[in-house]
Amino acid sequence: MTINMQKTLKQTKTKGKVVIDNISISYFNRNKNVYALRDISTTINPGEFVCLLGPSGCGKSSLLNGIAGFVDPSKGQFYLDDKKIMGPRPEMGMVFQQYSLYPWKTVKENIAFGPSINNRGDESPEKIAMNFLEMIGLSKYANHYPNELSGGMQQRVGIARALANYPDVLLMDEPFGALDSQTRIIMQENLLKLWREFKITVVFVTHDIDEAVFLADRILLMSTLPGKIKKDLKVDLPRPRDKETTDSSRFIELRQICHSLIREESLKAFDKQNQL
Amino acid sequence: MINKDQIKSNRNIKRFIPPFMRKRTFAYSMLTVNILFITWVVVTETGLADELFLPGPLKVWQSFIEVSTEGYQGNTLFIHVFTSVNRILAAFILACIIGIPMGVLMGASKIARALLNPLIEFYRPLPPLGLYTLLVMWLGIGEESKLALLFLAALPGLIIATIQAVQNIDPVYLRVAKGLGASKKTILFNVYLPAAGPTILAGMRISLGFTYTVLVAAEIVAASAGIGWMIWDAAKFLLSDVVIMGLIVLGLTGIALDIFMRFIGRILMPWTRYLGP
Ligand SMILES: Nc1ncnc2c1ncn2[C@@H]1O[C@H](COP(=O)(O)OP(=O)(O)OP(=O)(O)O)[C@@H](O)[C@H]1O
Ligand SMILES: [Mg+2]
Repeated sequence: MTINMQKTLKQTKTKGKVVIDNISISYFNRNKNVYALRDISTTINPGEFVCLLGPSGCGKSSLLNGIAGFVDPSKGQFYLDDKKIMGPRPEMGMVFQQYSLYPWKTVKENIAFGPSINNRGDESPEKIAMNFLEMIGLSKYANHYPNELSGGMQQRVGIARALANYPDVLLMDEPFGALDSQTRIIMQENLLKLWREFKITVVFVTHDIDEAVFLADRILLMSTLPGKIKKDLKVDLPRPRDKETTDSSRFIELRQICHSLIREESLKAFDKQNQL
Repeated sequence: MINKDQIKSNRNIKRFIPPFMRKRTFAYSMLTVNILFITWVVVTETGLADELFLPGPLKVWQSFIEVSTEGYQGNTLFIHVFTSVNRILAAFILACIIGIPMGVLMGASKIARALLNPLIEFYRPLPPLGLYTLLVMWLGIGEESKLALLFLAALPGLIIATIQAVQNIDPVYLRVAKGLGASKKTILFNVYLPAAGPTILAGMRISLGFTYTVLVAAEIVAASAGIGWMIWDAAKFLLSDVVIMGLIVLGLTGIALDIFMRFIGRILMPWTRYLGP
């Protein structure tokens, strides 16, 4: 990494506080108002790694899209560093659940897109893009199109694209959901490395318990229909984490706790989704 | 292991050959063309077809040479083709300049769609000849009414394809841009146009074909040059060799323009070469 980047990183260290203040999100669907989320409140501190964990359909994506400013809450207010979030903001970067790279831009152009819009520093967007490509180990693919890349590679580029904008908060919606378990573990380790370097806030959505326990400082366990925070679980595993972490007794213990809580929820969710 | 530079240079050469020619399916297409040709030879040589209505390939070839060198009704084949292709391209390019931005606007805004839809939906199903009579009354029998008819034929297909293209853009692409802080103008040039590009190109190809279908109608009145007019005029004198030759030449120019458009498309949208494995 260049000295230039280090400077930018130090400045952003104290930024990235997200306040979720009494949020409800509802969708108007088939002539009915359905609450995806109800009365959710929590504060995510600068530099914290928070995982939203819950069964399918519990409103994880809705909450993340709310923070990102893509979905307006029907009640309550989101704050980023004590300012109301009224719409998408470049201070927040999003990595989407589905592949979202622009097929018409090369890998390098995709990453350079954010910097070319915001043009913060004195480095050219191409230079920034090349730095990030090196960081994610895909320098060789700079001039390839996304369709020429594997799913895992595309998702790495998606993360680089979000980071290249130097956000204070990184929002990630099941970014590794489509990957095989081996690739997934490597991606998780790399993500933690990036997070350590950038010292930014991460809100990471997943329904994979191991993933949440491995990554998070704190897990927000969500319940279903309407979505609520059922449990705010602190993950006190030492960092840096690696393969050994997953063998420790504390890891297994935390996983067990999540398991039993989630199982309850999944059964309930399944029942509710099955009712007419 | 294949050497990397080799792959690269292969790619560089290959990308200038239209993809359809690279495929084995191209060979099958050529097979159909050959069978058609052989049938034509057999049917005419054995006297199965009346030579007055279906002359043999040789006769058509002779008329091609004759019209190319001596001309038909005062103009050589080249002038006829040149005149028609000029008309088609002028009308078609004008239709693109007006139709594509109109389609983007209509695709992105419900209100614009509601306002502008009646304009194209109404005249679209009208038969070209019927429309042409009105255009002649309004614009006279000169070049203007011809261009107007060709233009009107090209327009609706273009607009409808562009609307479709814009409406089918994955909303996540728009979110990405908004999330990065992109302005409306940036989004137009970096998301809307490239995302819709391939579908717009497909619409342009269909639309150009449609422009061809009204060429003869457009050149019936008060033309002395133009391949459509030549076909129409030759038919009056039962010169079936000229008619068939004219149709083949017209068809070939259509194929050439189509290949040209796809070529331009590959240059403007290089990523479409890598869609899928
Ligand atoms: N655009 C929408 N219109 C109507 N209802 C919606 C919409 N988006 C989500 N919902 C509903 O809101 C609820 C929460 O959806 P959401 O996508 O936030 O869940 P999720 O936790 O991300 O699920 P998954 O893990 O499957 O991605 C679901 O019941 C869903 O049916
Ligand atoms: Mg989701």
